[in-house]
This record gives sequence, C-alpha cells and structure tokens, in this order.
Amino acid sequence: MDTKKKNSKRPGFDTPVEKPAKKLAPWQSGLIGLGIVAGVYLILRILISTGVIGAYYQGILHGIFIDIIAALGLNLITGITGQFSLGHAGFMAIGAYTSAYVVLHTSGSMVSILGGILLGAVLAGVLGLLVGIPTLRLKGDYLAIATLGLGEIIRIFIQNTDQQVLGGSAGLTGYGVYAAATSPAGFELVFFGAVITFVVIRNMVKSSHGRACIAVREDEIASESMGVNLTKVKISAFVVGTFFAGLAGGLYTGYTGIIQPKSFDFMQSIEFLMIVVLGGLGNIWGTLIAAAALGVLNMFLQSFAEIRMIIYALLLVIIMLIKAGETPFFVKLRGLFKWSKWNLPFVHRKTEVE
Amino acid sequence: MAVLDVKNLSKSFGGLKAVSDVNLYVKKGELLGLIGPNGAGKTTIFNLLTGVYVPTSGTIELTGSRGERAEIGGMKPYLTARHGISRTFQNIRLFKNMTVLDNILVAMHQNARYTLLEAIFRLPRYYSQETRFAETAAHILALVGLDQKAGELASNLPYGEQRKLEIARAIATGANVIFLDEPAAGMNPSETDELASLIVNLKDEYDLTIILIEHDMKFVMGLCERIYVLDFGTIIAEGSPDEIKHNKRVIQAYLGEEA
Repeated sequence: MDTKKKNSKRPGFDTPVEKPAKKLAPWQSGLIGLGIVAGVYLILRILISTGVIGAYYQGILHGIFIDIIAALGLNLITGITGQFSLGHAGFMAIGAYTSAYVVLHTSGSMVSILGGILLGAVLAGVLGLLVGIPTLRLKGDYLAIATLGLGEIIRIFIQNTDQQVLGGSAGLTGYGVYAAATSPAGFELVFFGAVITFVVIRNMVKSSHGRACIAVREDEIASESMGVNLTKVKISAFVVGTFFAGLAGGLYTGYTGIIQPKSFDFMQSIEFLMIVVLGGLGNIWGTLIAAAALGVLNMFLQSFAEIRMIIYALLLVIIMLIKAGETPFFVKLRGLFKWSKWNLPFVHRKTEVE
Repeated sequence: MAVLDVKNLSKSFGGLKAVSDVNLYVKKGELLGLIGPNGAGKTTIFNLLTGVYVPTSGTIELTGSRGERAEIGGMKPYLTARHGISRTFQNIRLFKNMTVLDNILVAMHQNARYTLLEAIFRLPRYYSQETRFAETAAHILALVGLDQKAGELASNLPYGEQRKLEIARAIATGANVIFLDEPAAGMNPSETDELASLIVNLKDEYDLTIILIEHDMKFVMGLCERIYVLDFGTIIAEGSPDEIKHNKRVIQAYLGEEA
C-alpha cells in the first residue's frame, strides 16, 4: 500500500514525543492556595475585629458566604453536569431543619452545632441519592419540573408537620444563633464552610470524575460511548451538590436564628440558579463573584423587595438573549458594549482578523 | 481469529426493518469496510454493535484480548466501551466546550483507578494516575498531529482536525476494536490520503481492529482488506475490494438494474 511510505518521518510514531511540561508541583500550588485563603481570612478577620466591617455589613457577608456554598453545589449539578435542578432550596431545608433539631435537642455546644450541620448535609446528600436515582433519568425540562416538585414537597411536608416537632408554618426557633455576626465563631463557621465547599468542588472538577461530568453535559451519547457511566456520574454530582445545599442550610439556621418553610420556597431555588447563571454555567470562580454581586445588590434593594424579583426576571431574560454559557455574565456584557459590535454607521469598524 | 461474531442480527423500528438477519465476522487486526447506498443500515449496524441500540433479535459475540468471550448485544454503550469497543460518529460528536486534551482525558476516564474521594482529598493515587494520563494523552495527540493544539477548545479546530481528534479520542479509551463512521466525509482528496495513512499507522501502533463506513470508494478500496456491502438492511456481498468492484449485485444496488 502506497499510503505507508509517503511520510518517512512520522511524528510520534518514529520520533519520540516530548513529555508534557510540568506547571507547578502539587505542593507548590497547594501552598499558594493555602496562602490566599489565610490572607483573605486574616484581612476579613482584622477588619471585623477592628470594627471596620460593622455588624450589619458582617451579616451581609455571612449571607454571601452561605449563598456561595449553596450555589457552588447547584453549579456542580446544573452548570458542570448539565442537570437542570429547581429544587435546591428543598435540600437546603433538609440541612437547616436537621441542624436546628439537633442543636435544639442537645447541649448546644460547638460539638453539637458542628455535628448538627454535618448531619444535615449528610441527610440532604442521602435524600439527593434516593431522589436522584429515579429523577435523573429525566432530561431537560422534565427534570426541572420533577426537581421543582420535589423542592415544594419538602417545603410543604415541613409546613404540615406537628408544630411541636418542626414548628410547622410558624417556623422553628430557640436554638440560638451560631453563624450570625454577633456569635463568637460565626464568621469562621461560614468562611471555612465556603472554603471547604470551594476546594471540594474545584478538586472534583479538576479530576477524571469532573471531566466526566462536563462530558455528560456536552454530549450524553458520545460520553457514554467513551465509557462514561451516565447514571453514576449524574448521581454522584447530584449527591455532592445536595450535600452542600444541606451544609448551606445548616449554616443558614445558625445565621437567622429562625427557620420557616417559606424561606425555602421555589424563589429561593431561583435565587441560587441566578447566581450560577450569572457567574457562568460551570464556572466556579464566577459563582463566587456573582454571589457577592447579588448579595450587594440585595442589600441596596432591601427596602423594595418587590422590585428585586422584577430585576431578577429582567436579568434572566437578558442572560437568555445573550447566551453567555460558561462565560460569566458580566464579562459577556462587557464584550457586548464594545462599540465595534453595534454596527453603528458613524463608528469606524475594525475588520476582525482571524 | 474472529474478534466479533455477529449472527442473525435484526433491528426493527416499528414496522421498518432497518437491519434484517445480518451475519458477519471481523478478524483480529483487520481493516474492514462496510459500504452501501444511503439508508442501507450501515450506521444502524454500528449503533447495534456499540450498544446504542438494542437488537430486536440476534447475537453479537465479542472475543476480548485475552480470549474471553462476551455477548455484547443490548449491552449499554459504556459497558461495551469497557469491553474494548470504541467509535467515532457520522456527525462529529466532540465535547465542544472542552479542550482537545480534555477530550482525550475523558475517554480515559474508564481506566481511572482513583475514587471521587481520592480526587477530592488529592491523595497520591490521584497524582500518579493524572501524570500517567497526561503522558498517554500527549502521546496519542502527537500521533494524530494535534499536540500543538492540546489547549484549544475542540470547537475551534478546523473540520479535518476535529475528525482526527474523534479518532484519537476513540483510541484513548484503550479499545482494541474501533468503529469509524464516515471518517473521510467532507475531506478533500489530499486530506483523505493523509487520513488513510494515519489510520494504517494507528492500527499498527495500537494493534487495532478497525471497521469503517465510508462513501468515498477510492478511500475504501485502497484501505480496506475486506468489504461487506449492505443494501436494504441485508448483506448483499462480501469479499476483497477487487471482488466487490466486479460484483453484479453491488453494481446493481448502486446504479440500478440495467434497462
């Protein structure tokens, strides 16, 4: 066959392949990460201790960290694995009520608080596993409807339980605040909660399992043909994501001091979805920034709560129109506001060179 | 030795028999062609052999590299992949928003021996496996000439390179039986020649068995050692390229009956 002798020197076949260049050793990048976390923690801690960040702003900050935890979990499910979930607040409720119940019925010491939060997260993850097995067979809109229904079932179930146990629609309180601005280790709790969430999700994404998740989002048929077990990948992402929803719930419990079923309704799930979509689907750094941006926006809009939802709706419409995908919303928006893209007659257009 | 042994394979979609009573075998290390007019059922056979479709009837027996036999008819695609079968798609199905390197690494996922927890806590096994993966991936990419583009998004590659990346991805699964669905579609003659030599080189390098569907007759006749011809879901001819070229039924199927 004449095809064989055509190229006498075949790169890779005849000549050796260069080994991929090593970037940073694991311990080096780990040390850098640790340095950044320690730096951010020290700065924030000093600002809080010296009173530069007052109790009110510290409260906002705590809210942002809790949102980050929940939204990172949702980003893993929706942004990275591509499974549209609208029931995230329901799993948050599981974590919130579990930890409140545990703290209420134990000593209320730090051990019982941490135990309660952890138990809540685990229970949320277990429920995610049980619910994920049947529902993750569904695709797109159907999965969204199923998870939406699930979130509402959890909320309405809690609302209708005996008032002595979970407080019914009036809510559960009296367990004290442990993650609020006024509580001694509240800041550490939410800050390190967010750090752990970020590290876990990042490490997962940058591994073979994370790549399989992204592949499932990109093309289910191709990824399955390449040996990716669709069911296993979807469910493991769902379990990890709901685990962190539960963790956020447990911290939220200690943040507000009172939890009510209506705090975990459909609109709460939409808020998390907004953060994920604004930050870019699958973009975990974007989630951090979007959670902070929306937290600040909410602070300014506190006196007109009704307008908030209108702004959210508008933002969603705009996001759908510009199809940002993994690019964070604000980056995409900046690109749109380059004059050259608007095709105005009086603006000189630079010809794009490929 | 037959790697694949297909007996009485049929697939119906409602009342339509897309594939009926197909018998075929594939020898180890063979470069087999599957040709036929449009709608003959070639891709359906690929989908049956790779687990995308469940056969209506019939058996598909695979002999693994260590001589073990397995019935793979109706097995899920990810399980057939574990048995060493991989494929490319007629209309390219790359993971578009992933880099070229990540596309290859996804295909190696089934060989990952570290658990999710080991990845989260970054235990030693994670690092040793990832290093090995990166080296293997770099090697495969160099073979198909994409090593310089490892960091680019798959969707940014030109068409011909996307086809090559799909082949590289199929090989990266560690498969020894590879199905190529119209690998030369949309390529110009010089690209087609280059692809033919690449396929031969890869087959030798990885000791592959390759089954391909192609409409470019020059490509198929020059490359394949043996050819099956399919028409209306049944095999109408089998033989070497020369035999197929002069087979009356094949000419009839392609050009119609003589007036």
